[in-house]
Amino acid sequence: MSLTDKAKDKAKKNPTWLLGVLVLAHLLLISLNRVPSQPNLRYLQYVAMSGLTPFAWVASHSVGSIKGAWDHYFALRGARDENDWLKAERVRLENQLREQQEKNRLSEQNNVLQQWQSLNQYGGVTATVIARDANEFFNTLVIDRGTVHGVQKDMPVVAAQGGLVGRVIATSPLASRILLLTDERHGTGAEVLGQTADTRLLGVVEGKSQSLCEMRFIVAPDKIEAGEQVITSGQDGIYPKGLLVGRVKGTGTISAPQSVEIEPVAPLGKLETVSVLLIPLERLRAPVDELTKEEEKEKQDKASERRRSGAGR
Amino acid sequence: MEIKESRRITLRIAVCLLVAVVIQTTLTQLVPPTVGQWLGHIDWLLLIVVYVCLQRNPVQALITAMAAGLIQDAFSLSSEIAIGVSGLAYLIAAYVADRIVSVIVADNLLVRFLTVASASIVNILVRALFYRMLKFKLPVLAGGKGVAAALVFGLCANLIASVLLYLFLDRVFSRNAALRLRRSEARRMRSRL
Repeated sequence: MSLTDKAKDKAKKNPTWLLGVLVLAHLLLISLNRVPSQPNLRYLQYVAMSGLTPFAWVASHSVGSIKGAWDHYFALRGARDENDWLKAERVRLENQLREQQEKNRLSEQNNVLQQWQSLNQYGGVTATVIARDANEFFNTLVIDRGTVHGVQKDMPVVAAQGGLVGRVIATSPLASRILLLTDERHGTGAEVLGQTADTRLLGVVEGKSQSLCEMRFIVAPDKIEAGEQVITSGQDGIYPKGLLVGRVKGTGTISAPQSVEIEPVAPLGKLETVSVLLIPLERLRAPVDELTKEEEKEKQDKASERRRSGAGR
Repeated sequence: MEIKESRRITLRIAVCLLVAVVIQTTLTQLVPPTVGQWLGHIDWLLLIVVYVCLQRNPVQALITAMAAGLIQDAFSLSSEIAIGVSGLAYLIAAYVADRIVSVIVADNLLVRFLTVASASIVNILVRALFYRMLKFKLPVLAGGKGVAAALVFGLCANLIASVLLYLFLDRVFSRNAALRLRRSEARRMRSRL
């Protein structure tokens, strides 16, 4: 009987020692990830994401084709029922259209659209969402566009329906992982658009739950109206200014809030198509870097002044 | 002969794990959002691990748990910030499931329910505990309510999914079904001696 057979037999009788060894190995792995000099074991994710892409693509497209064929079959079978349903649907849609026209008129008055227009100067890559995070505790998703298509880390992602989705956190040649703005690790400088041009409040937007974000104000305002729009401030060096994040949740006026809940505009739970904004990172970071350089220069000037005054004494 | 059979089972488990991870990452995308929300709570990898535990081979079960954990971490954000936590949770869940099936000889729906339920609860609790210890501010951990909701939804979804999945897996591992009970009997006899 070889040594491995003996070990196997022992483990079969009492698996506790094997559990101990494996638990120890995992604790070591977790510790490795927490060491500052080795912060990431990214190659594992890189290989996994590259490997998943073809499977996810096939699954996504084959289910789509089967669904299409199935729908056609039932379309022929239930033509009469469908006719009745269509009549009812027409009435409903007419009402919906009237509502929509009213909404459109209101939204035209809103200057957020102008912010969006200014964004169009950047190119974008349209991508299909092919997978979600395998661990339900995290809010990320995988798209079918990667470095080959020009996608780079930290590029902002917006929904086809409008509204910020998050940013790219990992890339492989044919796929990228996006951190949703509802994830706890997602923090960005953002400002609330007031009803008048003067009431602009700065705050940090963070993920709160699967469908909500929270905005913590840098300087707490006296009051804020529910429904106010939240846009990116452009001061974080990640997102360009003016991307629509969401709306302040609640009703009426909220007085003296330290933080407010934000309802994202993008339908994060049912995203199918997104657009990655191909904005060069250097262009976004330029104002932030400039500010940092200026601060450093100021510090150096102060230090040299202090040294000079010390030598004079 | 036995080595060949063992290799065949290992291969089947590996294929099942890979299919499970593809389902886990893509299924919610392919169905309507209302259904997808529920499907998102199903931990397909854990269900495979528990099924391997039900085969009454603890070594295979623990190795499968470790592999499932690494696969899940590889396909998740956790690979960047906490690789190993999923494996650890699956390992402890597999150990608990193995302890249960080593005590109960019978193999019926009730035993499977009990095993899946215990493994689901242990899996979520271990994860929550470790993520809290590593100081991750996850929405799920923002109070007992979040963990309780994850526990209840995860438990219900896993139990329902396990019924259908195990019917399918019984066909895939059909040659193993008889072996399973014999192994269990033998282990009980050995422990008595």
